Amino acid sequence: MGDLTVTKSAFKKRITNEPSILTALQQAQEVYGYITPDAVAVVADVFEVSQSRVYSTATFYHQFTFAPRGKHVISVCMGTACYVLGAQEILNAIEDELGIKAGGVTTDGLFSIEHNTRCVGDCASAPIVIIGERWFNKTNTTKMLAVIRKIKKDEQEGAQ
Amino acid sequence: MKINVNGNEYEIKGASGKTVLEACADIGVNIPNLCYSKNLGLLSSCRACVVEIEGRWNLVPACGVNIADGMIIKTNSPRVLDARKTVLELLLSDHELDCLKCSRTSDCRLKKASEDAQCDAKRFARDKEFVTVDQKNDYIRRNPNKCIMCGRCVKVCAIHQQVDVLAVNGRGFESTVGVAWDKELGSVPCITCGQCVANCPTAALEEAQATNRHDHLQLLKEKIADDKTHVIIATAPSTRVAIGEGFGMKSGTNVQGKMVTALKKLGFDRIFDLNLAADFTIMEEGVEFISKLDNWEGEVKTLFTSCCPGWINYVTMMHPDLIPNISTTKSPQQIFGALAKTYYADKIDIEPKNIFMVMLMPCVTKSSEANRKGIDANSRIKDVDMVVTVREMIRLIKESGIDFKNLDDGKYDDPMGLSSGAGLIFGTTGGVTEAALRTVCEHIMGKKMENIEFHDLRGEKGIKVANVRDLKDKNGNNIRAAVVSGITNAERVIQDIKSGYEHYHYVEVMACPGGCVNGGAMPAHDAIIQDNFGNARNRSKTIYNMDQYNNLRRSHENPVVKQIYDEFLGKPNGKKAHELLHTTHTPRKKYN
Amino acid sequence: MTKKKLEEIKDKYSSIVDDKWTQWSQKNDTPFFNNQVRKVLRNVDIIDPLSIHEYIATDGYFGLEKSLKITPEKVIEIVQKSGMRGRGGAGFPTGKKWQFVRESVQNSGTEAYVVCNADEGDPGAFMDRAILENDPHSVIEAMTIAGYAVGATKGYVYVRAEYPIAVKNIRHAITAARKYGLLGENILGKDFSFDLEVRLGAGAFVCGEETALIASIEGKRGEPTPRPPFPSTKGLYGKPTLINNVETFSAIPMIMFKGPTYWNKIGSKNNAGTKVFALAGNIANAGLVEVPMGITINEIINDIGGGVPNGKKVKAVQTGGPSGGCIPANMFDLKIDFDSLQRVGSILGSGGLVVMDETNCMVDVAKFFIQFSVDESCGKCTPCRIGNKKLLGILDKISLGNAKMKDLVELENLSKIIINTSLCGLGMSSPNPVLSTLKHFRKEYVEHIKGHCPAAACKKLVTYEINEKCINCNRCVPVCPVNAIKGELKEDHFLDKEICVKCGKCAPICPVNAIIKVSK
Repeated sequence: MGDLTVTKSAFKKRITNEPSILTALQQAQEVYGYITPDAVAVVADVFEVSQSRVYSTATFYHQFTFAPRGKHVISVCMGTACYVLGAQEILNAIEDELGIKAGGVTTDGLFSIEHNTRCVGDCASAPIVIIGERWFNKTNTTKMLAVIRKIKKDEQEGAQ
Repeated sequence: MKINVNGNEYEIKGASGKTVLEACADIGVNIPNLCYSKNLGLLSSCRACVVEIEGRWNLVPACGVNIADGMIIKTNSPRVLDARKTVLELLLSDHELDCLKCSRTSDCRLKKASEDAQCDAKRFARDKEFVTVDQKNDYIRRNPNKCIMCGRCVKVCAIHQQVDVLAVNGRGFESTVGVAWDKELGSVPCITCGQCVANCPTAALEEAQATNRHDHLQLLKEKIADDKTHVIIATAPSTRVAIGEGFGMKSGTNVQGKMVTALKKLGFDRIFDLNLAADFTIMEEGVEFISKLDNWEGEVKTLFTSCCPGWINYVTMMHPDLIPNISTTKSPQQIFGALAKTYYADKIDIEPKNIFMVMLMPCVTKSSEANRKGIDANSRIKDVDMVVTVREMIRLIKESGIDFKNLDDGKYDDPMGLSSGAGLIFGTTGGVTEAALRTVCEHIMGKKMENIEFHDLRGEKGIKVANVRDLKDKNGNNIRAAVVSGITNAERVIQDIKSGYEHYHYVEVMACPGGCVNGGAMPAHDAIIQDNFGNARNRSKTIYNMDQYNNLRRSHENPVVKQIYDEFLGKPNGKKAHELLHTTHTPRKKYN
Repeated sequence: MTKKKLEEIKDKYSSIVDDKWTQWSQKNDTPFFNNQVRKVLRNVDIIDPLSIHEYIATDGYFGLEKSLKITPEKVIEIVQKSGMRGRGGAGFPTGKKWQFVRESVQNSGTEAYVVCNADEGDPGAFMDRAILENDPHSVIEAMTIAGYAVGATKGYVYVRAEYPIAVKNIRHAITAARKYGLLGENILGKDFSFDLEVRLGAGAFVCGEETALIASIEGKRGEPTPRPPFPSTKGLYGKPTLINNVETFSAIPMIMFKGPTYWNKIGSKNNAGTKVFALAGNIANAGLVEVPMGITINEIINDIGGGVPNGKKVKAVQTGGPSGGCIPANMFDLKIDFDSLQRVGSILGSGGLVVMDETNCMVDVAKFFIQFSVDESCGKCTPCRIGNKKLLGILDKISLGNAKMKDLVELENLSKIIINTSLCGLGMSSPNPVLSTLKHFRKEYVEHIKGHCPAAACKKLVTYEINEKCINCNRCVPVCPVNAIKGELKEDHFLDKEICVKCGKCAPICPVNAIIKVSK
C-alpha cells in the first residue's frame, strides 16, 4: 500500500537523480501506491517535460494504476498454462464472489482484482493466484473462494 | 539512380536519401499516405503506403525505405492493392463516417485514399463507443472519433512548438490522442496555435469558436440577413493568396479581387482590407520601438511583436517576466476592430452596437484574441464580433452556390480599403519586421531609402537574424532584428537573449512555421508528399510579388492612414492612439 | 581479482558444490531429468544463487578470464563457431550480431551498450526467470564478455517487474561481482571496464521487442520503431547496441571457457546446442526441460513429460507463445528446432511448450492468444492495433456459433495482411496462432460454424449435464441462478438444458464431479 502523506517536495527529492521518466514513475507507484496528479506534476517538473508527456508514458504501462488498489490485491495469472488449466473459471468465480470485475476495487476497499495478470513465470505449478504476497499454486475455484472468505472473516473480526 | 517501378525503368535525380514514396511521386506514381510529413520524423504508423520491394518478404512502407540503385518496386500489384485497401478499411471501421457534413469532406486524406482504393466502409464492424468531442473553452475542437492515430499532431506539438500537450494515452486499440489526465485542451498549456489542426489529415482536429461552438456560422448568416445590422468584414493579408485553393485553384494564386466579389455576393455590407490596419500597426509599433530602443530598464532590452495570439499565449504562460518587453501595440485585427467601432461608426453614422465586425483569418486562435479580457477599447463594445477562418469561408461560399473561380475582380470598399505592400507582407514570416523597418529606418535616417527590401528577413528558416542597415543604438551597437517562426525556435531565441548570448533589439515571433501563410486554419495541404510548410511557400512568394509591384509600399505613406491620424487619432502613440490601439498583457496559468 | 585468486576460491568451494550436485542428482534420478542435457541450466537449483564463490567453483568467471586474454575479434569468432542462435525467439546467429555491433562501433567511433533482454513476456515461458533467480552470475559474466567483444563499458539488464526474486538476485549478484572486481574498472587486471545497471519493466509485453525495449530504457512509451536502423547500428541513446536474451547469454561463459564444441557438438544442422523448453499444460511432469535441438516432440512429451494425465488424449502442443502456433498430435515426430518449426507454421519462440488435450478447443486457444495480442499491442500501427481486434471479433463470433464460412475466409485473409504490413515483430507474428490452428484444425472451426464445439469448451456451444456419478447431495441446486437443476435431497437430480444459461457455477460445487460439460 502507498503512503499518501509523502509531500511533493519529499517526492521531488527522491526522484531528482532518477535516470528516466519511467523509473521516476515506478518510484511514484511505489511511494503512493498509485500515480497521483501531484506525482505527475513533480516528475514533469524534474524532467522539464510537459505533464502530458509524463501521463502518456504512465498510461502505456499496465503496472501503473491511477486509483488506489484494495487492501488485498488479487492476481489471477492468465498465462497460457494457467488458462489451459482453468484460470478463467477461477477469475469468474472470484469476480462473482466479490461483486467486482477485474480491474475494480470493492466498495469497502478491502479487495481489488488486478486487470489482466500476465504470466508470472511459474507455469509448472499452474493455475496460480496471488493475493498480496501469498502465492497459491495448483489451485482451483473451491480453494480460492475459501481463502477469500477467510480473509473477509478475519477482516470483520479485526474491525470489531 | 535507376529504379524499376511497376515494370518500367526510371532515372531518379537527387536520389541520395530519397524515399520510395518521394521517388515514386517524382515520376507521377502517387502512393497514398496518411502519417508521413517530411519535417516531423518518421512515424510509419498508418501503413497505407506499403509497397512490394523485391527481396523483401513482407510489404514495406514506402515512406520508410530509401531507394537503392536497381530497386524493383511494385505499387499496384494485387497483393499491394489488397493490403492497402484492407488497411484503409481497418481505419474506416474506427472512424466516424459523416463525410457529407464533415468540414474536411473535400480534402480529407483518409477519404481520398479510401475512394481511390474503392474501400468498403462496412467491411469491418465498429468496436468502439463514440466519445464526446472536446471543445470546451477551446479554439480547437478535438474529435477522437475521427482520429486515425497517425501521430502527426503529437509530433508537431512536441517538435516544432515544444508545448508537447498532445500525446497518446493508453495503449493498443483503446489508445487515444489526448492531454494529461484525459482532460480538455484548455486545462493544459496549449497555446491554441493550431499547428496540430494544420497537420491533421482528417477532421479529428479542427478550429472551433469558444463562445458560439458550431453555430457561429449560423449566427453570421442571421446577422447578414438582418437589415438592421451593418455587417462588415476585413480580410487578413495572407487570405488573398490561399482562399482560391478551396476552389481548385493553384496555391499562391492572387485571388484578392475574386475574394472581395465573393464576400459581396455573400451579403457583407462592406468589404475592407485588414492590411490597412497592418499599416497602423507599423505606425504605432514603429514609434513605440523608437521610443523604447534606448530606454529599457530591465536586463532584457528587446521589443517582441505582439500580433500573433499563439505567441502571446505562449510567452504570457512560460515567460511572464518578458511581458514588459512585449509591444503594447494591438494586432491589426484588434486595431481594425477598434477603429471600425469608433472612427468608422462615426463616419457612416451607425451606432457601434449595430455594426457586426467580422474578420477573415488563416488563424485558429484569432478569436481567442478577440475574446481576450481587456482587449476592447470600450469594455461595453466588442471591437471584433466574430472571426471566420479561411476554411470556414470556403464552405460558406460553396454553400451559397457562388462560382468563385469565374468571378470578376472586385475592389475593397472605402474608407478602409487602401493598404500598402508593407501591410500585405505581414502575412508571411519576416513581413512584420520588414514593414516596420521600412518606416523606422526612414524615420531615423530622416530620408527615403532606395532599397526597402530586407531579404535577410525573408525565407523559410525558423530563425533569421539581420543587422538593420547602418543603424545603431545609443551604445553604438548595430541594431539587430530577429525573425522567428515556430515556438521551439522562439524558445531558443528567448534563452539566447536571457543568457546574454545574443542581443536583439527587435524580435518578431510567429507561432506558425512560415508565418500566417501557414496558419492552422488555412486550406489543407493537398500534396501527396506532406511537409511542414505545405502551400505556404507559394503563398509567400505571391505576397512578396504583390508587394514588389505595388506603388504604395510604405505604411507611413498610406494616405488613408495619414487621414485617419489627422482627422481622428492625433499622433501615433499619442493619448487617443494609446486608448484605442494599445493594450497590456497579463500572465496566464499553465495548468487548470 | 586475478586468475590465481579465482582458482583459490574454486578450490575452496569445489567440494561444497560437488556435494550439492550429487544430492541433486540423487534426488532427481527420474526420466524427467535424466533425459535432459543441462548446459544452460547446469547450476539451477544446485548452487546458492547468492554465493559468488559457488558460481566460481563451477568454473564461473573463468570464461571471462580466458576471453580477456584473447582479442575481441577472436572472442566473436568463437561465438560464431559455436553456432549459437538467439534464444529469445528470433534465432538470429549470435556471433553475427556481436560482429555487427563491433563493426558499428568501429565505424562510428562511439561506444556500444550491452543489453540483456529479461522481459520474458511469453505467457508460458519461465526459463529466463529460472536462470536469473538461480544462476545470475552466468548472465553477468556473459554480458561482460560481450562488452569486451563489441566495445562497450555499460550494460543494462531489463527485467520484467513481475519477477521480484529475479530482480533481487541479479542485483545482489551485481553487487558481489563489483566487490570482487569482476565488474567495474580494470577487470581482472586488464585495461577493460564494464558495469551493469538493472532496469525494471512496467507491464508491457511489447517491451520484449528490441526497439521497444530501447525506448523503455530511455524512459519513453515502449513503442517499436521501424527497422532499419537496427539496434546494432543505432540503438540505445542512438549508439550501437547489442541485445541478447538471458538464455543466450547464460551459455556464453562455458562456450568461452570450454570452446565452441561445448555447444556445437550437439543439436541439429544449423541449430547448435540445447534449448530450454517450458513444458506445461496437460502434462504429467511440467517444468523446465533442457534438451538438444532436434529432439522430437514425442520424446519431450512422453520420455520426459510423462505423457498426458487422467487418461485424456493429447491433441496438440502450442509452441512460441502468442507468436507461435499449434502442432497437432499426428506431427509429434517432428524434430524441434528453429527451422523445422517455422516450416510447419509455428515458431520456436522463447521455448514455451503447452500441451493440450481433447478438452482444449483450438478456436478458444486462438482466441486466447489474439486477446493477448490485442491487450499487448502498442497501438502505433494500423494493422496490429485495429486488425487484431477484428480478428478477435471474428473468433468471438465463431465461438458463439454465429459465424459463417465466409468469416473463415476473412480470418485467413486479414491474418495474412496483418503479418505482411505490421511495423514490428509483435504484429507480424500475432496472427500465427490463428493461421496455424486454421491449417491443422480446420475441422474444428467448421464444426463451430455448424454450432458445435467438439472440445466442449466454448460456453455458448456446450451444455451441462449430470451424469451417473451423482450422489443426490443437492449442493448444486441452490447455486444455479436460474433454477435449472431440479431434484430433492437423496432423489434423482436433473439439469434442464433448456433453462441452463451455462454460467458454470454448478460444476465446481459438485463433490464427485458429476456435472460435466458436453458439446451441444
